[in-house]
Amino acid sequence: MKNLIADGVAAGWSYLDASTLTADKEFEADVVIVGSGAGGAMAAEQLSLAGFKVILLEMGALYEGKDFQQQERWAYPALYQDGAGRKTLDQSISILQGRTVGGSTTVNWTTSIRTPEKTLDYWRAEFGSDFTSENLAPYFQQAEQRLNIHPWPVAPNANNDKLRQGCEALGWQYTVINRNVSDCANLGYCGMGCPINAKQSMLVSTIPSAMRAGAMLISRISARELIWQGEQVQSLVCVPVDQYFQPDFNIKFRFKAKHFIVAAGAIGSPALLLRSKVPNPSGRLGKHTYLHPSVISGALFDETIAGHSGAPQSIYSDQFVWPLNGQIGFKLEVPPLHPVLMATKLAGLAQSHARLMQQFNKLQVVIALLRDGFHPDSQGGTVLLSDNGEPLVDYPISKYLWQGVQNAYLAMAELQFAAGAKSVLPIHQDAQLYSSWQQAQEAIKTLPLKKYRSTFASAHVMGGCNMSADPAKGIVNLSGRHHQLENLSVFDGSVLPSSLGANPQLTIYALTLRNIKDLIKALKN
Amino acid sequence: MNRRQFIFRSLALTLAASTGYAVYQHQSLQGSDNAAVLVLDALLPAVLMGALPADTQDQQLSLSQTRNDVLQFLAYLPQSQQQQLQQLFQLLQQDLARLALTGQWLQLAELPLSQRLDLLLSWRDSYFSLLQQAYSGLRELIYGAFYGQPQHWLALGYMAPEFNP
Repeated sequence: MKNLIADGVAAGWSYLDASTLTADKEFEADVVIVGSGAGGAMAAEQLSLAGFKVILLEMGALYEGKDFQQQERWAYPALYQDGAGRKTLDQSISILQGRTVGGSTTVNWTTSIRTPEKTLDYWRAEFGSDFTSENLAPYFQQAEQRLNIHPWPVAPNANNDKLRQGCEALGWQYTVINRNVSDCANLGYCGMGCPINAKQSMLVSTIPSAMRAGAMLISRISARELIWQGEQVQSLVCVPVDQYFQPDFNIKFRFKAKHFIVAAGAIGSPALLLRSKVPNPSGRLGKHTYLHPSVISGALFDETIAGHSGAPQSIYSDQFVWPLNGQIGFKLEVPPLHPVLMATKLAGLAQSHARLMQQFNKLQVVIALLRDGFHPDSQGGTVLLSDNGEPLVDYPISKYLWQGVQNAYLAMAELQFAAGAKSVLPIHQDAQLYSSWQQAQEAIKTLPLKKYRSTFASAHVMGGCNMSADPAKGIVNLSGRHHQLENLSVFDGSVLPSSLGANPQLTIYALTLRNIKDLIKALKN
Repeated sequence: MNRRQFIFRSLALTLAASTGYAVYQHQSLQGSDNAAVLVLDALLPAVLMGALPADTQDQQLSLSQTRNDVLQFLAYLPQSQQQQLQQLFQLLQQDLARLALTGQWLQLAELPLSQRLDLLLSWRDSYFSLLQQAYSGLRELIYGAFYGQPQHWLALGYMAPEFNP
């Protein structure tokens, strides 16, 4: 197995670990890109191939292929924001977000779904977009070809198969997931970085390709402030991060460029723009942050599930994503089951927790991703800055969302019993292991719908720099260009004006491919 | 004093007033590492009941390694979150706050294990969101550190593969 970037660097590609520099430094390029995830790296490849001099900045470290250790105690601190311990301001929702070269694409579970029709309808109606499945199709196809996205041809692992079986038994919709993999060995460790370069993350595709074409990659660097005047960004000020990824303000790097692309994710991008105090006439900067807040249901089976092994996500159900009664919808998926992820998310304390962990290999877990946004009572959260300029995400859970939480617990329990579960445990402080659907149904209806009682997690952060045709309703236009600053673009999940009701990577790839085409045309003129 | 310190101290004062404990002395945040060690050492055996190895020596090793892993992990959290946790550890070691937060005059480590568990559960079910946060935050740190260690996977029937040894 090769470490593509390390080998390339040995052969002369341009790479710098900012934490090794000991003095201030200035850099210049045609385009500086902040963030090496789905948006930033996709843009870097296209720009580099078009002949532009690109510098790609990443706050995380460079780990690839052979570096990846299949242990959570290594992977979470090394590859995730806040050691996978990122939380909303009141600590009620955990957020899993990559912070490494390749961004979240390095650690995601490879699920690749085109933007749902109804989401595009909503954007057209509310944000003046002209996107349709048809006019975006060429960009979806381009991304699908670039990253070898195709339906997973291998049988699902038992954790996913229970989701399929439950849907079959109940006559619910389900779909075999499209994954961005080549020669995948069905290992199940996508969330800790693919050790065999099978996952077609940015780390093995667009980043090496951009570097081969001359792009410079700088890791362990934190973008602090865009310096701007009038309608122009003049420079970007950055600092290195230390071994714990904390910014070190003793050294400063200044980047000059013709154009700046911010792609630091839906928490990092609004935070950078807030620190930079860029014009914000719509008042929406850092607002309307969506999380697909997800609730969890565990089930015990007689047979072995071993949900740590095999492709983590290969089946989903959209049975409940778009309910006709106006209530919030939710998508059903399963997570990979590794010891730390399970131990921290499962409810219980002391013996009750230990007993559940001892049945680790019989445990099956379903998650329901609430489709937030799309409704006056679901306006998302807000990215704020702490005293030292770090992002905080305030995300209140509205009554409207709580109704969805109860519906989701019910649907997940019904599904798990239909798939043959012996007992089901909604992950809620007041829930117990229920041994029948009837018992679970009655109990779930009495579970208090209150903060801290339900365990919430999120792996999809969206919004905060939303796109809109009308500058009064958004931060960037439909091509991702900032409405007020002429040489600034935002290309990442932060431009999404609602959640998606689907895993976001493919939407971000396609929108970036669409928008970078316009940008390249504009920069060449 | 930031907002959280303010809330902690207001909480302490309110409860102190209601129990007749009149004098509130400002205490500095020195020695916070030590506070974290004391609090974790008191809570770990309770939180990990049922999960710790049977052998006494292995148990001690498990406990100290889990505590050290928690302390190491804290450095990866954002500064604001680190400060909040240090304040929590500090306050749990201070007489007045201990009274306010736990309703107990005893040192945490002087409580029998079952009462330490009750204490944690009382935080979980408290009306104060701060205590609920303390419960879920400490619980997550402790279980994360404990189940990150390969020697604790035996009971789970789990082994981490090595694809690139």
